[in-house]
Amino acid sequence: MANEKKPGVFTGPLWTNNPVVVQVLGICSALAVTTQMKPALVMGISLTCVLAFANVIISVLRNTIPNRIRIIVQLVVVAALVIIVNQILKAYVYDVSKALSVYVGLIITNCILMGRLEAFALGNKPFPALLDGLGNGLGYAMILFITATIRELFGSGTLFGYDVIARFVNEAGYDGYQNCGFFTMPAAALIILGCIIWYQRAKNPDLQDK
Amino acid sequence: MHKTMNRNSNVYTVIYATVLTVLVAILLSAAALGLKDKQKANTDNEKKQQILQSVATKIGKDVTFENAAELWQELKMDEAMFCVNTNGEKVDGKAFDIASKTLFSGGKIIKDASLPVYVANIDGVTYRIVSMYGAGLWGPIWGYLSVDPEGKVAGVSFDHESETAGLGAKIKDDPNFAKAFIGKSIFTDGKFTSVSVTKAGKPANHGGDKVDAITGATKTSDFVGDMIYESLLGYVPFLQSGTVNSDCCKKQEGGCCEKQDAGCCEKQEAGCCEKQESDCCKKQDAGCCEKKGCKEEGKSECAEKAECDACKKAE
Repeated sequence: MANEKKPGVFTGPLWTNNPVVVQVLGICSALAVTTQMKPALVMGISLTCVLAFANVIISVLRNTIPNRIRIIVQLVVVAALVIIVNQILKAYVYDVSKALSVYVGLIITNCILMGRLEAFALGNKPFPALLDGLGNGLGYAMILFITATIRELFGSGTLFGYDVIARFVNEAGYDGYQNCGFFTMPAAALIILGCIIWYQRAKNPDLQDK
Repeated sequence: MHKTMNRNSNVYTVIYATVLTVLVAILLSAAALGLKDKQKANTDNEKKQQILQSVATKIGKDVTFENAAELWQELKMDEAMFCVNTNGEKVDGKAFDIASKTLFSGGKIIKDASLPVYVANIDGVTYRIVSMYGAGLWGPIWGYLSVDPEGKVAGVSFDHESETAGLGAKIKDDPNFAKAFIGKSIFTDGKFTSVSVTKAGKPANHGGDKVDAITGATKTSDFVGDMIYESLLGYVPFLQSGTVNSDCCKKQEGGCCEKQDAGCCEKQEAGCCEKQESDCCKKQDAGCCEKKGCKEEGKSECAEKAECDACKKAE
Protein backbone atom coordinates (compact mmCIF):
# COMPACT_ATOMS: atom_id res chain seq x y z
CA MET A 1 0.00 0.00 0.00
CA ALA A 2 2.70 2.49 0.91
CA ASN A 3 5.21 1.01 -1.49
CA GLU A 4 5.01 3.87 -3.96
CA LYS A 5 5.83 6.72 -1.61
CA LYS A 6 8.89 5.66 0.33
CA PRO A 7 9.73 9.11 1.72
CA GLY A 8 6.38 9.22 3.48
CA VAL A 9 7.09 5.84 5.02
CA PHE A 10 10.10 7.26 6.84
CA THR A 11 9.21 10.90 7.48
CA GLY A 12 5.52 10.42 8.22
CA PRO A 13 5.96 8.81 11.63
CA LEU A 14 8.48 11.45 12.62
CA TRP A 15 5.87 14.14 12.90
CA THR A 16 2.52 14.09 11.09
CA ASN A 17 1.85 10.46 11.93
CA ASN A 18 3.94 10.25 15.08
CA PRO A 19 3.35 6.99 16.96
CA VAL A 20 3.23 8.65 20.38
CA VAL A 21 1.42 11.94 19.93
CA VAL A 22 -0.80 11.05 16.94
CA GLN A 23 -1.37 7.33 17.18
CA VAL A 24 -1.09 7.55 21.01
CA LEU A 25 0.94 4.33 21.28
CA GLY A 26 3.72 3.58 23.75
CA ILE A 27 2.48 6.08 26.33
CA CYS A 28 3.32 3.84 29.27
CA SER A 29 7.06 3.87 28.67
CA ALA A 30 6.93 7.52 27.60
CA LEU A 31 5.75 8.37 31.11
CA ALA A 32 8.09 6.03 32.91
CA VAL A 33 11.54 6.52 31.42
CA THR A 34 11.54 10.26 30.74
CA THR A 35 12.67 11.52 34.15
CA GLN A 36 16.25 11.75 32.92
CA MET A 37 17.57 12.26 29.41
CA LYS A 38 20.05 9.41 29.32
CA PRO A 39 17.59 6.57 29.90
CA ALA A 40 15.11 8.23 27.55
CA LEU A 41 17.70 8.38 24.82
CA VAL A 42 18.79 4.79 25.36
CA MET A 43 15.18 3.65 25.43
CA GLY A 44 14.52 5.49 22.15
CA ILE A 45 17.57 3.97 20.49
CA SER A 46 16.74 0.50 21.85
CA LEU A 47 13.20 0.65 20.57
CA THR A 48 14.31 1.97 17.19
CA CYS A 49 16.79 -0.91 16.82
CA VAL A 50 14.30 -3.53 17.92
CA LEU A 51 11.56 -2.11 15.70
CA ALA A 52 13.77 -1.79 12.61
CA PHE A 53 15.18 -5.31 12.96
CA ALA A 54 11.81 -6.84 13.78
CA ASN A 55 10.21 -5.11 10.83
CA VAL A 56 12.88 -6.39 8.46
CA ILE A 57 12.83 -9.93 9.85
CA ILE A 58 9.05 -10.19 9.72
CA SER A 59 9.03 -8.64 6.26
CA VAL A 60 11.57 -11.21 5.02
CA LEU A 61 9.56 -14.03 6.57
CA ARG A 62 6.20 -12.63 5.57
CA ASN A 63 5.59 -15.15 2.79
CA THR A 64 6.52 -18.13 4.95
CA ILE A 65 4.75 -17.32 8.21
CA PRO A 66 1.72 -19.55 8.76
CA ASN A 67 -1.23 -17.26 9.07
CA ARG A 68 -2.64 -18.96 12.14
CA ILE A 69 0.45 -18.40 14.28
CA ARG A 70 1.62 -15.09 12.81
CA ILE A 71 1.12 -13.13 16.03
CA ILE A 72 3.11 -15.73 17.95
CA VAL A 73 5.89 -15.60 15.38
CA GLN A 74 5.98 -11.81 15.66
CA LEU A 75 6.13 -12.04 19.43
CA VAL A 76 8.96 -14.58 19.36
CA VAL A 77 11.00 -12.40 17.02
CA VAL A 78 10.37 -9.27 19.09
CA ALA A 79 11.02 -11.04 22.38
CA ALA A 80 14.30 -12.47 21.13
CA LEU A 81 15.46 -9.05 19.96
CA VAL A 82 14.42 -7.38 23.20
CA ILE A 83 16.25 -9.95 25.30
CA ILE A 84 19.39 -9.45 23.23
CA VAL A 85 19.13 -5.66 23.63
CA ASN A 86 18.62 -6.07 27.37
CA GLN A 87 21.66 -8.34 27.67
CA ILE A 88 23.80 -5.87 25.75
CA LEU A 89 22.63 -2.96 27.91
CA LYS A 90 23.40 -4.94 31.07
CA ALA A 91 26.88 -5.68 29.82
CA TYR A 92 27.88 -2.30 28.45
CA VAL A 93 25.74 0.45 30.04
CA TYR A 94 24.86 -1.06 33.40
CA ASP A 95 23.65 2.14 35.07
CA VAL A 96 21.29 2.87 32.20
CA SER A 97 19.95 -0.67 32.21
CA LYS A 98 19.20 -0.23 35.92
CA ALA A 99 17.36 3.02 35.28
CA LEU A 100 15.32 1.42 32.51
CA SER A 101 14.73 -1.70 34.64
CA VAL A 102 11.60 -3.46 33.50
CA TYR A 103 10.85 -1.06 30.69
CA VAL A 104 13.31 -2.70 28.31
CA GLY A 105 11.46 -5.95 28.83
CA LEU A 106 8.25 -4.08 28.26
CA ILE A 107 9.38 -3.07 24.77
CA ILE A 108 7.89 -6.45 23.90
CA THR A 109 4.46 -5.22 24.82
CA ASN A 110 4.97 -1.77 23.33
CA CYS A 111 1.98 -1.25 21.07
CA ILE A 112 4.15 0.47 18.46
CA LEU A 113 5.98 -2.77 17.77
CA MET A 114 3.11 -5.14 17.28
CA GLY A 115 1.18 -2.40 15.53
CA ARG A 116 3.88 -1.79 12.94
CA LEU A 117 4.60 -5.48 12.43
CA GLU A 118 0.98 -6.33 11.91
CA ALA A 119 0.05 -3.26 9.89
CA PHE A 120 3.17 -2.76 7.81
CA ALA A 121 5.89 -5.42 7.88
CA LEU A 122 3.54 -8.29 7.07
CA GLY A 123 2.45 -6.62 3.85
CA ASN A 124 5.59 -4.88 2.60
CA LYS A 125 9.06 -5.60 1.26
CA PRO A 126 12.05 -5.47 3.63
CA PHE A 127 13.39 -2.08 2.60
CA PRO A 128 10.19 -0.08 3.12
CA ALA A 129 9.70 -2.09 6.30
CA LEU A 130 13.14 -0.98 7.50
CA LEU A 131 12.30 2.66 6.77
CA ASP A 132 8.97 2.31 8.52
CA GLY A 133 10.68 0.79 11.54
CA LEU A 134 13.33 3.50 11.71
CA GLY A 135 10.75 6.25 11.18
CA ASN A 136 8.43 5.06 13.90
CA GLY A 137 11.29 4.30 16.28
CA LEU A 138 12.84 7.72 15.81
CA GLY A 139 9.44 9.41 16.06
CA TYR A 140 8.99 7.69 19.41
CA ALA A 141 12.55 8.49 20.48
CA MET A 142 12.09 12.15 19.57
CA ILE A 143 9.00 12.60 21.72
CA LEU A 144 10.69 10.80 24.60
CA PHE A 145 13.72 13.01 24.24
CA ILE A 146 11.74 16.25 24.20
CA THR A 147 9.76 15.18 27.25
CA ALA A 148 12.87 14.05 29.10
CA THR A 149 14.69 17.31 28.35
CA ILE A 150 11.90 19.37 29.87
CA ARG A 151 11.51 17.04 32.84
CA GLU A 152 15.19 16.79 33.66
CA LEU A 153 15.83 20.50 33.25
CA PHE A 154 13.04 21.62 35.55
CA GLY A 155 12.81 18.56 37.78
CA SER A 156 16.49 18.02 38.51
CA GLY A 157 18.09 21.19 37.15
CA THR A 158 20.42 19.14 34.98
CA LEU A 159 20.82 18.11 31.35
CA PHE A 160 22.36 14.66 30.81
CA GLY A 161 23.38 14.84 34.46
CA TYR A 162 25.29 18.07 33.83
CA ASP A 163 24.29 20.74 36.31
CA VAL A 164 22.70 23.52 34.29
CA ILE A 165 20.46 25.55 36.53
CA ALA A 166 22.79 25.64 39.51
CA ARG A 167 25.65 26.66 37.22
CA PHE A 168 24.07 29.27 35.03
CA VAL A 169 20.99 30.55 36.77
CA ASN A 170 21.86 30.49 40.44
CA GLU A 171 25.47 31.55 39.94
CA ALA A 172 24.44 34.39 37.68
CA GLY A 173 22.85 36.06 40.64
CA TYR A 174 19.28 34.81 40.30
CA ASP A 175 19.75 32.72 43.37
CA GLY A 176 17.21 30.45 44.87
CA TYR A 177 15.82 28.31 42.07
CA GLN A 178 14.36 25.20 43.61
CA ASN A 179 14.02 22.08 41.49
CA CYS A 180 10.39 21.39 40.78
CA GLY A 181 9.80 17.89 42.11
CA PHE A 182 6.54 17.69 40.22
CA PHE A 183 8.44 17.30 36.96
CA THR A 184 9.96 14.06 38.18
CA MET A 185 6.49 12.57 38.61
CA PRO A 186 4.75 10.66 35.80
CA ALA A 187 1.86 13.15 35.85
CA ALA A 188 4.19 15.86 34.57
CA ALA A 189 5.10 13.67 31.59
CA LEU A 190 1.43 13.30 30.76
CA ILE A 191 0.95 17.07 30.86
CA ILE A 192 4.02 17.67 28.68
CA LEU A 193 2.80 15.06 26.20
CA GLY A 194 -0.57 16.77 26.20
CA CYS A 195 1.10 20.09 25.39
CA ILE A 196 3.04 18.51 22.52
CA ILE A 197 -0.16 17.02 21.13
CA TRP A 198 -1.87 20.40 21.51
CA TYR A 199 0.93 22.18 19.67
CA GLN A 200 1.03 19.60 16.94
CA ARG A 201 -2.70 19.65 16.27
CA ALA A 202 -2.69 23.43 16.21
CA LYS A 203 0.02 23.29 13.51
CA ASN A 204 -1.61 20.47 11.54
CA PRO A 205 -5.29 21.19 10.96
CA ASP A 206 -5.56 17.82 9.16
CA LEU A 207 -5.19 16.06 12.48
CA GLN A 208 -7.95 17.93 14.21
CA ASP A 209 -11.14 16.01 14.84
CA LYS A 210 -13.81 17.13 12.47
CA MET B 1 9.37 -25.05 1.13
CA HIS B 2 6.38 -22.75 1.27
CA LYS B 3 5.73 -23.23 -2.43
CA THR B 4 5.39 -26.97 -2.18
CA MET B 5 3.56 -27.12 1.13
CA ASN B 6 0.28 -25.67 2.15
CA ARG B 7 1.11 -22.78 4.47
CA ASN B 8 -1.97 -23.38 6.52
CA SER B 9 -1.51 -27.07 7.07
CA ASN B 10 -0.92 -28.31 10.59
CA VAL B 11 2.34 -30.03 9.67
CA TYR B 12 3.78 -26.85 8.19
CA THR B 13 2.70 -24.78 11.19
CA VAL B 14 4.25 -27.20 13.69
CA ILE B 15 7.51 -27.52 11.76
CA TYR B 16 7.71 -23.74 11.34
CA ALA B 17 7.13 -23.09 15.01
CA THR B 18 9.69 -25.72 16.04
CA VAL B 19 12.42 -24.47 13.72
CA LEU B 20 11.82 -20.86 14.75
CA THR B 21 11.91 -21.70 18.45
CA VAL B 22 15.13 -23.70 18.15
CA LEU B 23 16.83 -20.96 16.15
CA VAL B 24 15.82 -18.29 18.64
CA ALA B 25 16.90 -20.46 21.57
CA ILE B 26 20.36 -20.97 20.06
CA LEU B 27 20.70 -17.26 19.37
CA LEU B 28 19.70 -16.23 22.89
CA SER B 29 21.93 -18.82 24.55
CA ALA B 30 24.86 -17.56 22.54
CA ALA B 31 24.13 -13.96 23.52
CA ALA B 32 23.71 -14.84 27.20
CA LEU B 33 26.91 -16.87 27.33
CA GLY B 34 28.93 -14.34 25.39
CA LEU B 35 27.96 -11.42 27.62
CA LYS B 36 27.93 -13.26 30.94
CA ASP B 37 31.39 -12.25 32.13
CA LYS B 38 30.84 -8.62 31.38
CA GLN B 39 27.50 -8.60 33.19
CA LYS B 40 28.96 -10.39 36.21
CA ALA B 41 31.72 -7.80 36.38
CA ASN B 42 29.08 -5.08 36.44
CA THR B 43 26.98 -6.60 39.22
CA ASP B 44 30.13 -7.36 41.25
CA ASN B 45 31.29 -3.82 40.83
CA GLU B 46 27.94 -2.49 41.98
CA LYS B 47 28.12 -4.67 45.08
CA LYS B 48 31.61 -3.39 45.83
CA GLN B 49 30.35 0.15 45.44
CA GLN B 50 27.52 -0.43 47.89
CA ILE B 51 29.77 -2.13 50.44
CA LEU B 52 32.36 0.65 50.26
CA GLN B 53 29.66 3.31 50.33
CA SER B 54 28.99 2.29 53.94
CA VAL B 55 32.46 3.51 54.90
CA ALA B 56 32.57 6.37 52.39
CA THR B 57 32.79 9.08 55.06
CA LYS B 58 35.78 7.28 56.59
CA ILE B 59 37.49 6.95 53.22
CA GLY B 60 36.79 10.62 52.77
CA LYS B 61 35.42 10.51 49.24
CA ASP B 62 32.34 9.40 47.43
CA VAL B 63 32.37 5.86 46.10
CA THR B 64 31.13 5.72 42.54
CA PHE B 65 30.55 2.88 40.12
CA GLU B 66 33.76 3.92 38.38
CA ASN B 67 36.17 4.10 41.33
CA ALA B 68 34.69 1.22 43.37
CA ALA B 69 36.94 -1.51 41.96
CA GLU B 70 40.03 0.62 42.49
CA LEU B 71 39.17 1.46 46.11
CA TRP B 72 38.33 -2.18 46.71
CA GLN B 73 41.85 -3.10 45.65
CA GLU B 74 43.43 -0.30 47.68
CA LEU B 75 41.70 -1.39 50.87
CA LYS B 76 42.54 -5.05 50.20
CA MET B 77 38.93 -5.99 50.74
CA ASP B 78 39.27 -9.36 49.03
CA GLU B 79 41.79 -10.69 51.57
CA ALA B 80 39.97 -9.42 54.64
CA MET B 81 36.45 -10.73 54.21
CA PHE B 82 35.14 -13.84 55.88
CA CYS B 83 31.95 -15.52 57.07
CA VAL B 84 30.52 -15.97 60.54
CA ASN B 85 27.65 -18.06 61.83
CA THR B 86 24.91 -16.79 64.10
CA ASN B 87 27.02 -17.73 67.16
CA GLY B 88 29.73 -15.36 66.07
CA GLU B 89 32.20 -18.09 65.05
CA LYS B 90 34.12 -17.90 61.83
CA VAL B 91 32.97 -20.42 59.25
CA ASP B 92 34.00 -21.39 55.74
CA GLY B 93 32.46 -19.61 52.83
CA LYS B 94 33.13 -17.04 50.20
CA ALA B 95 31.68 -13.89 51.69
CA PHE B 96 31.43 -11.94 48.47
CA ASP B 97 29.54 -14.66 46.61
CA ILE B 98 26.82 -14.96 49.23
CA ALA B 99 23.56 -13.40 48.13
CA SER B 100 22.06 -11.81 51.24
CA LYS B 101 18.65 -12.93 50.04
CA THR B 102 19.51 -16.59 50.64
CA LEU B 103 20.22 -15.97 54.35
CA PHE B 104 16.64 -15.12 55.17
CA SER B 105 13.46 -17.09 55.48
CA GLY B 106 10.24 -15.32 56.36
CA GLY B 107 12.11 -12.11 57.20
CA LYS B 108 14.33 -13.82 59.80
CA ILE B 109 17.89 -14.97 59.48
CA ILE B 110 18.02 -18.75 59.07
CA LYS B 111 19.75 -20.67 61.85
CA ASP B 112 22.71 -22.17 60.01
CA ALA B 113 23.40 -19.10 57.90
CA SER B 114 26.95 -18.14 56.91
CA LEU B 115 26.85 -14.39 57.24
CA PRO B 116 29.29 -12.37 55.15
CA VAL B 117 31.56 -9.90 56.92
CA TYR B 118 33.71 -7.39 55.08
CA VAL B 119 36.56 -5.68 56.84
CA ALA B 120 37.93 -2.30 55.90
CA ASN B 121 41.06 -0.92 57.52
CA ILE B 122 41.03 2.82 57.10
CA ASP B 123 43.61 5.03 58.80
CA GLY B 124 44.41 2.29 61.30
CA VAL B 125 40.82 1.76 62.37
CA THR B 126 39.07 -1.52 61.59
CA TYR B 127 35.51 -1.26 60.37
CA ARG B 128 33.43 -4.37 60.08
CA ILE B 129 30.79 -4.21 57.38
CA VAL B 130 27.78 -6.44 57.62
CA SER B 131 25.15 -7.12 55.03
CA MET B 132 21.44 -6.41 55.44
CA TYR B 133 18.42 -7.58 53.52
CA GLY B 134 14.69 -7.25 54.02
CA ALA B 135 11.31 -6.43 52.59
CA GLY B 136 10.55 -2.90 51.49
CA LEU B 137 7.18 -1.43 50.69
CA TRP B 138 7.11 -2.61 47.06
CA GLY B 139 10.04 -4.96 46.73
CA PRO B 140 13.21 -6.06 48.45
CA ILE B 141 15.54 -3.56 50.09
CA TRP B 142 19.10 -4.28 51.09
CA GLY B 143 22.21 -2.53 52.27
CA TYR B 144 25.46 -2.60 54.19
CA LEU B 145 26.25 -1.24 57.62
CA SER B 146 29.73 -0.61 58.94
CA VAL B 147 30.48 -0.87 62.63
CA ASP B 148 33.45 0.80 64.26
CA PRO B 149 35.46 -0.82 67.09
CA GLU B 150 33.22 0.80 69.70
CA GLY B 151 30.07 -0.79 68.33
CA LYS B 152 28.89 2.43 66.74
CA VAL B 153 27.64 2.78 63.19
CA ALA B 154 30.34 4.19 60.94
CA GLY B 155 28.10 4.43 57.92
CA VAL B 156 25.35 2.74 55.97
CA SER B 157 24.34 2.31 52.37
CA PHE B 158 20.90 1.27 51.20
CA ASP B 159 19.49 0.14 47.92
CA HIS B 160 16.08 -0.99 46.81
CA GLU B 161 14.39 -2.61 43.89
CA SER B 162 11.19 -0.65 43.47
CA GLU B 163 10.54 1.91 46.21
CA THR B 164 8.66 5.02 45.07
CA ALA B 165 10.91 7.53 43.32
CA GLY B 166 11.21 10.74 45.31
CA LEU B 167 9.78 9.17 48.48
CA GLY B 168 10.87 5.68 49.54
CA ALA B 169 13.70 5.78 47.01
CA LYS B 170 15.30 8.45 49.20
CA ILE B 171 16.76 5.70 51.37
CA LYS B 172 19.25 5.39 48.53
CA ASP B 173 19.11 8.81 46.87
CA ASP B 174 19.16 11.14 49.89
CA PRO B 175 22.66 11.14 51.38
CA ASN B 176 21.33 12.83 54.53
CA PHE B 177 19.29 9.77 55.43
CA ALA B 178 22.36 7.54 55.44
CA LYS B 179 24.39 10.22 57.24
CA ALA B 180 21.90 10.27 60.11
CA PHE B 181 23.00 6.75 61.06
CA ILE B 182 26.64 7.65 61.61
CA GLY B 183 27.64 7.54 65.26
CA LYS B 184 24.49 5.76 66.41
CA SER B 185 25.14 2.91 68.78
CA ILE B 186 23.70 -0.50 68.06
CA PHE B 187 24.30 -1.64 71.64
CA THR B 188 22.93 -0.04 74.78
CA ASP B 189 24.53 -1.18 78.04
CA GLY B 190 25.86 -4.21 76.19
CA LYS B 191 22.43 -5.17 74.95
CA PHE B 192 21.55 -5.20 71.26
CA THR B 193 19.07 -2.42 70.64
CA SER B 194 19.67 -1.84 66.91
CA VAL B 195 19.09 1.56 65.35
CA SER B 196 15.41 2.24 64.85
CA VAL B 197 13.87 4.38 62.13
CA THR B 198 10.80 6.14 63.48
CA LYS B 199 8.92 9.37 62.91
CA ALA B 200 10.51 12.49 64.33
CA GLY B 201 9.61 12.77 68.02
CA LYS B 202 8.70 9.13 68.42
CA PRO B 203 10.88 6.89 70.57
CA ALA B 204 13.03 4.05 69.22
CA ASN B 205 11.36 0.67 68.77
CA HIS B 206 13.86 -1.39 70.75
CA GLY B 207 15.20 1.31 73.04
CA GLY B 208 18.61 2.64 72.14
CA ASP B 209 19.34 4.94 69.24
CA LYS B 210 17.09 5.99 66.39
CA VAL B 211 17.06 8.13 63.28
CA ASP B 212 14.10 10.06 61.93
CA ALA B 213 11.96 8.50 59.22
CA ILE B 214 11.78 10.05 55.76
CA THR B 215 8.85 12.41 55.43
CA GLY B 216 6.26 10.90 53.13
CA ALA B 217 7.89 7.51 53.23
CA THR B 218 6.96 6.28 56.69
CA LYS B 219 6.33 2.73 55.50
CA THR B 220 9.62 2.35 53.69
CA SER B 221 11.37 3.89 56.71
CA ASP B 222 9.68 1.35 59.00
CA PHE B 223 10.88 -1.43 56.75
CA VAL B 224 14.43 -0.08 56.83
CA GLY B 225 14.32 -0.16 60.64
CA ASP B 226 13.00 -3.73 60.58
CA MET B 227 15.65 -4.76 58.09
CA ILE B 228 18.44 -3.37 60.25
CA TYR B 229 17.07 -5.08 63.34
CA GLU B 230 16.47 -8.48 61.76
CA SER B 231 19.72 -8.49 59.81
CA LEU B 232 21.95 -7.39 62.69
CA LEU B 233 20.28 -9.89 65.02
CA GLY B 234 22.27 -12.68 63.33
CA TYR B 235 25.49 -10.74 63.72
CA VAL B 236 25.03 -9.80 67.40
CA PRO B 237 27.34 -12.44 68.94
CA PHE B 238 30.01 -11.68 66.36
CA LEU B 239 29.76 -7.92 66.77
CA GLN B 240 29.78 -8.14 70.54
CA SER B 241 32.88 -10.31 70.67
CA GLY B 242 34.72 -7.99 68.35
CA THR B 243 33.61 -4.95 70.27
CA VAL B 244 35.20 -6.31 73.42
CA ASN B 245 38.41 -7.43 71.79
CA SER B 246 39.32 -4.19 70.21
CA ASP B 247 37.92 -1.77 72.74
CA CYS B 248 37.36 -3.06 76.25
CA CYS B 249 40.60 -4.94 76.52
CA LYS B 250 42.48 -1.77 75.92
CA LYS B 251 40.58 -0.13 78.70
CA GLN B 252 41.33 -3.10 80.85
CA GLU B 253 45.03 -2.40 80.50
CA GLY B 254 44.30 1.24 81.18
CA GLY B 255 43.42 0.57 84.78
CA CYS B 256 39.68 0.34 85.13
CA CYS B 257 39.52 -3.36 84.75
CA GLU B 258 42.48 -4.14 86.97
CA LYS B 259 40.17 -3.88 89.89
CA GLN B 260 37.47 -5.76 88.14
CA ASP B 261 36.10 -8.75 89.84
CA ALA B 262 35.58 -12.01 88.04
CA GLY B 263 31.97 -11.29 87.25
CA CYS B 264 32.86 -8.11 85.53
CA CYS B 265 35.48 -9.74 83.38
CA GLU B 266 33.14 -12.48 82.35
CA LYS B 267 30.66 -9.92 81.21
CA GLN B 268 33.40 -8.22 79.34
CA GLU B 269 34.23 -11.37 77.46
CA ALA B 270 30.62 -11.83 76.62
CA GLY B 271 30.74 -8.48 74.97
CA CYS B 272 29.03 -6.23 77.49
CA CYS B 273 31.38 -3.34 77.29
CA GLU B 274 28.82 -0.80 78.39
CA LYS B 275 27.46 -3.07 81.04
CA GLN B 276 30.90 -3.71 82.30
CA GLU B 277 31.43 -0.01 82.75
CA SER B 278 28.20 0.44 84.61
CA ASP B 279 28.93 -2.52 86.83
CA CYS B 280 32.34 -1.10 87.60
CA CYS B 281 30.82 2.21 88.45
CA LYS B 282 28.59 0.66 91.03
CA LYS B 283 31.76 -0.48 92.69
CA GLN B 284 32.94 3.11 92.63
CA ASP B 285 36.10 2.39 90.78
CA ALA B 286 37.98 5.65 90.36
CA GLY B 287 39.19 4.83 86.88
CA CYS B 288 35.69 4.14 85.78
CA CYS B 289 34.30 7.36 87.09
CA GLU B 290 36.35 9.29 84.66
CA LYS B 291 34.64 7.57 81.83
CA LYS B 292 31.65 9.22 80.34
CA GLY B 293 29.31 6.32 79.74
CA CYS B 294 29.30 5.14 83.34
CA LYS B 295 25.95 5.26 84.96
CA GLU B 296 25.20 4.51 88.50
CA GLU B 297 21.79 3.26 89.32
CA GLY B 298 19.58 6.17 90.18
CA LYS B 299 22.05 8.67 88.75
CA SER B 300 22.24 9.98 85.26
CA GLU B 301 25.94 10.91 85.27
CA CYS B 302 29.17 9.48 86.55
CA ALA B 303 29.58 9.34 90.23
CA GLU B 304 31.42 12.32 91.60
CA LYS B 305 35.13 11.94 92.03
CA ALA B 306 34.74 12.61 95.73
CA GLU B 307 32.29 9.79 96.05
CA CYS B 308 34.68 7.50 94.25
CA ASP B 309 37.50 8.41 96.51
CA ALA B 310 35.32 7.80 99.50
CA CYS B 311 34.44 4.47 98.05
CA LYS B 312 38.04 3.61 97.48
CA LYS B 313 38.81 4.26 101.09
CA ALA B 314 35.92 2.10 102.08
CA GLU B 315 37.31 -0.65 99.90
